[in-house]
Amino acid sequence: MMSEDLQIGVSREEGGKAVTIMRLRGSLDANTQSVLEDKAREVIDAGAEYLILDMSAVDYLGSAGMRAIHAITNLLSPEDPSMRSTHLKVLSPSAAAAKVFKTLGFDSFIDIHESLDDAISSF
Amino acid sequence: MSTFLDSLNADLRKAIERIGVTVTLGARQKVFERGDTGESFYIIEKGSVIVHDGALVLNELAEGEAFGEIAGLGGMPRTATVTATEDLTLLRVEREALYSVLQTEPESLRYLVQMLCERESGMADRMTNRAWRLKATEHELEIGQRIQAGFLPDVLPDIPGYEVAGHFQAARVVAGDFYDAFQIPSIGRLALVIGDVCDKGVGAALFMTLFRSLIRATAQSRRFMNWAVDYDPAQTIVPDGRDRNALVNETLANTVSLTNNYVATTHGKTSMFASVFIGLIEPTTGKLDYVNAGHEEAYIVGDGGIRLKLPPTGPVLGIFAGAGHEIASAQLRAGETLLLYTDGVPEATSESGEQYSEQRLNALLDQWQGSARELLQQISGSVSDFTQDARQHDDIAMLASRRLSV
Repeated sequence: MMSEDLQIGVSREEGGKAVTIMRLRGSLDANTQSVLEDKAREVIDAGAEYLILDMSAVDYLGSAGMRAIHAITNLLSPEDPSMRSTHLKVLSPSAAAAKVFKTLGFDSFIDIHESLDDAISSF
Repeated sequence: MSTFLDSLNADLRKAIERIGVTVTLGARQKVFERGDTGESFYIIEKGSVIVHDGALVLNELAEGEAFGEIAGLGGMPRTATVTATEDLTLLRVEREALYSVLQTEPESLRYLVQMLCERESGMADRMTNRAWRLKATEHELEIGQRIQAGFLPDVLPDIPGYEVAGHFQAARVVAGDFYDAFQIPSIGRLALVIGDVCDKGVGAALFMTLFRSLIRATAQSRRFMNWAVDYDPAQTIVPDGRDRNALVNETLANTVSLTNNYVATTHGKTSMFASVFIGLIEPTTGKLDYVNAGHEEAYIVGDGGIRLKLPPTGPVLGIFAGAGHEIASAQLRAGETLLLYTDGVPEATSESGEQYSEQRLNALLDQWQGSARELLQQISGSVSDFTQDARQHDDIAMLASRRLSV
């Protein structure tokens, strides 16, 4: 049974670079993509430059959710036309989310890390 | 516009001010929520509120205006939530206290009924206006639906030795999924295409027309630019001196890169992308050359079930400019069917929240024998049996091409 909504927790890690971690829980799809996009816009407007999306508790990821993730990479580095996301990384995606990353080919665009330390030091 | 308090006669206004209790709230505090029971209605003395249902704001009210009379006087549950937009001072009037006043002042009762009817009349006008606007929007969507239907092939190619069938079922009025099938005479190939634009509804539908048109126009560019050459299966060298297989690969590569790079560089800021499978079949040999751009695995299905799965050979189209896509090949044997489908099939969801799943689809294919049309009917029927009355969440598109046994 999928959850119908999406919860987002936000925290910050002050290392070499200030990194904002967004922990997603629930379903990221056409109904909830705006929840993620709005929250990301809020933290970016407040000054966040580097984002980690912890997707370990995402039980469903749809293509509309992936659209929101791409839109966030555009917000973070609008003039960067490179094929790599430099300001957004993904942490420990659930099996369901990892499969969607692979099928859609987003795994060659966004780095996926299995440990928070690795994700933070990758920026 | 005169407010509720202004519109009261002097006696009733005095009485209400006497029996009312002053209540203060801070910004963003709720006065009550939709569904609550209530015994009172409110008049705003200072500040303002929004009347809303979740994120949908139905009305904004300011000083002197009243709200909450439906539950307050009628005893029905609250029909909407009311939240303070700034520091708020309210006069709360209890139902029983008001009725006591009205018993001693019948003239006021007549007046109150008149006032409630005026409010109801205003609400009825607003509802009528909204219904007309909604009808106009629905009409526009219906036009969009008719035009979009023209972006699916009205006739599928009729090629000796092949049967092609399509199935389409939109989750909303307009859809982001599409399929296409057409011949490319200049290279002697049958093109089979399926695509799924991310997201649903009008935005996805606009991009569906863009992706479908770019793919079809580029794949058939020789025809549209008048350098079509007649296909002769015996001839492996085309009139411009090149090897036919090289032209097939060139057609696939051009179609994928032009579509991808055009959308990524022209519309990249919208983050809209499509997963697409484009396959080119050589009818006499059954050779299939294809690109799978971030799409579900395509299946080659024989009597014993799925013989071959064709996974992605590159990422989705429309956001990663310059992305590379490999061209892969497979063989469609006599009696086998190439099945293309969108994720609306495995992700069709029952009322209990369970998904139809690739496992169920694979199990059905293990048991299946018959024509391409029957195959799509059987999958569609199996999905409907599974989902029953649950609302369809995602568009469903399928395309099947069967190479007939000789």
